[in-house]
This record gives sequence, C-alpha cells and structure tokens, in this order.
Amino acid sequence: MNWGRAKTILIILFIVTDISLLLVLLQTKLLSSQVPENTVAAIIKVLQEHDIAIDSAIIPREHGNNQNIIMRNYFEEPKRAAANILGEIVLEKTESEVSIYEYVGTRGILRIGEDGFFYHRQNESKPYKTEERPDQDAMRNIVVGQLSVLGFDKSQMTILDGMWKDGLYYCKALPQYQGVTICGISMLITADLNGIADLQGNWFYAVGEEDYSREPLLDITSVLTQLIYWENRIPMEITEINNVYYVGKEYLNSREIVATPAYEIVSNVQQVFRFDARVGNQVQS
Amino acid sequence: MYKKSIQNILLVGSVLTAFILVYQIWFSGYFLSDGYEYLTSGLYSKIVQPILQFLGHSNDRDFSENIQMLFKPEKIVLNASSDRVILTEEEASFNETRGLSREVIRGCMVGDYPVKSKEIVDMDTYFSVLKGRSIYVDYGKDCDYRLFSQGICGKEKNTFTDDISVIQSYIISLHDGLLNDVSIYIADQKSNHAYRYVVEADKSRLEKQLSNLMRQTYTGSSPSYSFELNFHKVQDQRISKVLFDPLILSDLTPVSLPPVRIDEGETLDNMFHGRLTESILDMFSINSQTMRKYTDLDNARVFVENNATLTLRENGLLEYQAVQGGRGLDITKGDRRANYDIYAATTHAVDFVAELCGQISPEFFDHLQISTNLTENAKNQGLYRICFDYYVQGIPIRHKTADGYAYTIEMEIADGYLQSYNQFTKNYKITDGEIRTLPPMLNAADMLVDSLYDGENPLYINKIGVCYAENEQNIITPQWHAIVDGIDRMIATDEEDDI
Repeated sequence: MNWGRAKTILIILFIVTDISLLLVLLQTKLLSSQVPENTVAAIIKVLQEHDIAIDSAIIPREHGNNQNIIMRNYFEEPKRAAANILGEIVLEKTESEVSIYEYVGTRGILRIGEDGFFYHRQNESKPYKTEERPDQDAMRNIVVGQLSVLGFDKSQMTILDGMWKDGLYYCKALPQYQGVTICGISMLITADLNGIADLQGNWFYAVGEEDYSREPLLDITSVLTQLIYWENRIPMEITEINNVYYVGKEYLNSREIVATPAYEIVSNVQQVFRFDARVGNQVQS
Repeated sequence: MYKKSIQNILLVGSVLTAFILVYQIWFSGYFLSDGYEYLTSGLYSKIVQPILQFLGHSNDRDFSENIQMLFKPEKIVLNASSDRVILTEEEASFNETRGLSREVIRGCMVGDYPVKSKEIVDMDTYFSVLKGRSIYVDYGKDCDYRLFSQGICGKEKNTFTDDISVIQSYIISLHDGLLNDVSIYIADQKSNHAYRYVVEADKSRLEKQLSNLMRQTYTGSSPSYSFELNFHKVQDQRISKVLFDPLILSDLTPVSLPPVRIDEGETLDNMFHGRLTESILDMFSINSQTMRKYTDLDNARVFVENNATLTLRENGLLEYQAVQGGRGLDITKGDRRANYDIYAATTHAVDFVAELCGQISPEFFDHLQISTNLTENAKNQGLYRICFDYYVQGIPIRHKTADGYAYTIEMEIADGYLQSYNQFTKNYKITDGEIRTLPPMLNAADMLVDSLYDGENPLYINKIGVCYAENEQNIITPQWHAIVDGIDRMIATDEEDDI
C-alpha cells in the first residue's frame, strides 16, 4: 500500500474537517453572543399584543459583558474618607462598635453610619440667581468638578436627574465602570454657587472585575417577555433599554461588594425596571 | 525523508486539532444551550472525569476507612485485678492496644473467633468484669451498631447485629471467672441489656500481649471506677450532691498538658484570597454566576445564593446556612432518601467532611474525631446534628464563641440536605513552652458542684475529661470539661472562663 499517498489523503480530509469544525465553532460563538432578528421581531409582536410598544432600534442585539465589578466602600476607612471630604479634621466622635462616625472639619461636618453617609458644608447656602444658572450639561460638569475637590474620582461617576429649585441644584451621582452605570449606589447632591452644600447616600468605587465571558448573558428578549405577565400592567411604551450593573441595597453597609450585570428598561410613564442579566429575575428598582 | 516528517507532523497536528475543536464544540456551552447539557454530561462524567481522576492519582479513602479514622476509642483501660492503666491517644501504647482489641472484636464479628455461647447479664456482672484481667475499650459516645460494624469489619451486619443496636464500649475479658475463657461483653445502650459472648480465641496469646502492655505502661497509680466507689448511686446515709456515670474513672493525680498553638500555614490565606475559595464554593454548589458576594464590616467574605449563605471569616470559621424553610445542599450524591436514618446521615456527613477537608487541608482530617452520639433522633427522624472535634494528641480543642463553646465542625442534616455547616479550619500543634497542670478530676467535679448544685437534686456527670479551649483572642488553654445532666460544660480552673 502506498502509505505516502494515503497519508496525503488523510491530511487533506482532516484539514477539511478542521476547517468545517472551526467554522461551526465560530458561527455558534457568534450566534450565542447576538440576538437573532426573528427573535426580536417575535418579541416586539408579543409585547404589542399586550399593550407594550417598543421600537426595534432600541433593543440591543449584542449581549453586554458578563463580568462582576468589584467595588470597595469609599468610607471603609472612615477617618481617611473624612480627611478627603472635610480637609482638616478638628473634632472626631466615633462609636465603632455600632459603626457610627462623626467628624467636624474645616469644610463642614460628616456623619458615617451603617445606612450611609451625610455631609453638610459649614458655609451658608448661596443660591444661583435665575439668570446666572448654567445649563444642565454645564452644571453637571461643575458638580463633578466639585465632587473631585471632595476626593471623589470624577472619571468613575455620572450625574443624573438634575433639577433647579429655589436657586439650588439637586441631582444624583451614580458610579460608572467602563462607561456602564452601576445602579443601587448613589449620592444625592445639593449644589449652590459656593460648591457642594450637601451630600448623602452611599458610595463605592470600582477596583477590578471578574470575567465570566465564557457564559453568555440572557437575551434581552427573554427579559422583556416578563413584562407581559405583570398583574398591574398598564399600556406603555419602552423608551430605553440599557446594559447596567446592579447592587442590592442590603449590601451597602459592606466593605466590598460585587456589582452584577443587569438590564434596565425605562418606560414612557417613568417606570424603571431592572432584571438580572444572568438569571432574568427582577431586581429592586 | 524530510517530506515524510512534514507529512507525519501535519497528520498528527490535524488529528489533534480535530479533537480539540470537537471538545470545544461539545463542552464549551456554545453548542448546547442551557438545559441540554445532559446530552454531553454523561459522556463527561463517565469517560472524561475518570480519566482525569486516574491521571490525578486520586487518594480518596472509602467510607469504611473514614469512619474508622473518625470514630476511635476515647480511652482504653487495661485491667488486671487492682492494677489499672488508662491509655489515650497521646500514649505510645495506645495504637498497639487499639490494634489488639480491634483484631479481637473484628475476629468475633466476622466469625474468625466463633461464638461458643451467649447470655444476657446484669450490669453488676458487667461491671465486675472490669475488676479482672480485661481490656475495656470506651468510645465515649453512643454509636449506631451498623456504623460501628462498618468501621471495624467493613460490613453493616455481623455476629452481634441481632442483639446490639447502639454501642458505646466493649470489654474483652481474659479471665472470665467460672469459665476461664475469652469473653466479649457488650452493653446495648438502646435496650439496656448487657451481653456476654464466650468466644474461641487464643487466650494465652492475648494474656501474654496484655501482660506486656501492662508492664510497658503501668505507672503505679490505679484509678477506680465510680461503681467501685459507689459514686454512681444515691447513698442512704448521706446527701449526694453529685453522681457519676458508673464507668468514669476517678483519678487523684493532677493532669499535665503541653501547650498548643495554631499551626500557621497558607490555608487561611488561600481560603480568603486564593484558589481555595473557588473549591469551597464548588463544594457547597454556590453558583458563581448567580451568587451575590460582599465583604462585611468584620472583613468576612459573604456569598449569598437563593438557597443559602456561605461566610468565610478571618478567624478561619467557615459558615454555611441554608435559607429558613429551604432545603440546603444535597449531600446524598444520588443515594435514596426514603427512610433517611442516622446511618445514611453519618455516611453522607463523613463523605462530605472528608471531601471538604481534602480541599482545605488534607492533614486536618487526620485530627478529626466524631464527638456527638451517632444514634437515631427519636423526636424527629431524618434530622441530625453531627459534630467533630479537632484532636491534638488525643485531646480535643473547643472554640469559644458568643454562644458558648463550639465543636470544630458542626453540621445539621435534614433528609440528606445540609441545613447548616460550621467549621473552624485552623490546624494546631503541640509547641514548646510551659506545661500546664490541671487539678485532679475530683477537684474539677467539686467546682461543678459549687456552681451548679441547686441544693436538692444531685448533679449527674455523664462524662468528664480534659480539653483545650481557644478563646476569641486565639489563646489556647487546657481545661476540664464535663457533660452534666446531658449538657456540655467547661470548668474554669482559674479566673479566665466561667461555666
């Protein structure tokens, strides 16, 4: 038998097989990371039958990153956080057994407890005059700049829900990681001409990630399906779908937590729904 | 020649590539979506895993070996008339004596030493045997006989199964008064009957071995059993403030114990920050995809799932708690759950602990002993609490917590589901330093009376012995501890702790 020729034939056969297998593998990987168009069309139809309108363009076709974001409590070391926010500390009162810390500094007072923190600036409030008010974008930038003066990393946050009242600007800061918002953690901000007047809430900053990209996230379509089963469902239009990360409020008094991927669905009637992107259950809004 | 080599390389390369691509497609999860993994899971578990295990040279012991390691005698007493020697694991001759007694009882169980006759005797007769030439093997706790049998001879049933349901100890008598035969005495803790089995065994060899052991180990002091001193019965002529179990040995000599410290190793660090965390999560079937995790204010790492919470604390405590009303981790590995009893629960508990300790620290398992009775739960069959102690040279170590003193491992199992599991994962060892001396046992009993006697009802001491107690600052001190009226008590012999 001509072994040389037999080997050549076998080599060709195996190479062809390998190329076919490779194509199958690449195709299945690609398909698993994207939502098929027919699935999108089907879910739109089902939602419309249940009085939920949605534009195809807002449904993301690609899955988000399946990763956990590791976040550390900004107030894990209370005194260091107080020094960042208050400048020089002149008075300190701590009850570490019950995790309550109070500081008075040159800038103001800071109270840290298990339910979050509260900062109040010492100087009197100086409201903006109506004609002096910056627009929303500018005011957000001002707020971010002022927060960085207080020691917060401005590259890891986004400012939302800004509104004016009596010359004071009220808004909310949420952390971000690689441009993706992390829900469940927030600071409520009151700002005036002199800067940040009040701050309260919780704050964590991202220190790393844990990759689970081998396991794809759920399709957004399987999450959207859940909306039709709600008892108190009202006719609505879905205006936004966002990939976010989420942290439950029951973990906010920890030193280190993990934010997990979620889908955020916003409707035209100001309802916001969030669903765990791995298992699909609704998480607290 | 060169062309042939290239051809061969290409052929081998393309074949290997085909295997790799097929493996990726079948087992990567891309091809088969959730719910369809069963199509390949059988292939993986029946072919791929056994090969991987073989290559990994698995050293797993079976249940019989594990229960043998975990259920050793607490003490062996060599009796020769008035001379008496108590052997515990720290004594050099303990293992030799244990081997001898085990050989005899095993021989009787499997029929190597046939039973010539059997009769039921009263407890006074049972006690009187201990005054003659005998070996008394005391496990210190009740054990379902099937488990005991499994540990001794590798089988659930044997010669004594029809008579014995629950065993705590047995006596090998080498001079049985009237008959001058070798006899085995076993008291069934369930029926309260004591049995004497006269067996065919080489009495002269056993006598010689016993004499040698006595010679090697006799110290000159001969403690007395409580029944010999009538400490086990209420006396007519005087008020009894305390009664002892009849088989407790009263020793008037102080007890000296070497210091013990934590064996610093990489285990704790690995558990918190290394690869060990993943292995532990895997053992408890905590899905890294669906769990929530955080570090609490005490720096404990907490992993929360729908069904349970796993906490790893900085002091080495591992805590698993199933959600109230939930099922918890299934530890049966496919075994039947119908009529779930203590035998099944212990089997599953031992297998689980062996596997977990194999992940955390293999040498840890070698120090463990089961501490609780392994008997049926009369009030609630199917629900069991099984505890293990970490022993250093035959002495257990207990851990102080906010709720009292804890065993090294405490687990609750309900119908094959793990409801809770707590384990202190540190290793310990004897260290150089000042030897601590504890007062004699009777002094410790006096302290118990001083603090617990209510003036009317005598205390009943089921058991009394020494242990090491570790407090929350990791200071380890020897102490007496006792089971009084069924409740575990630590006995403060200085100002450190109270009862």
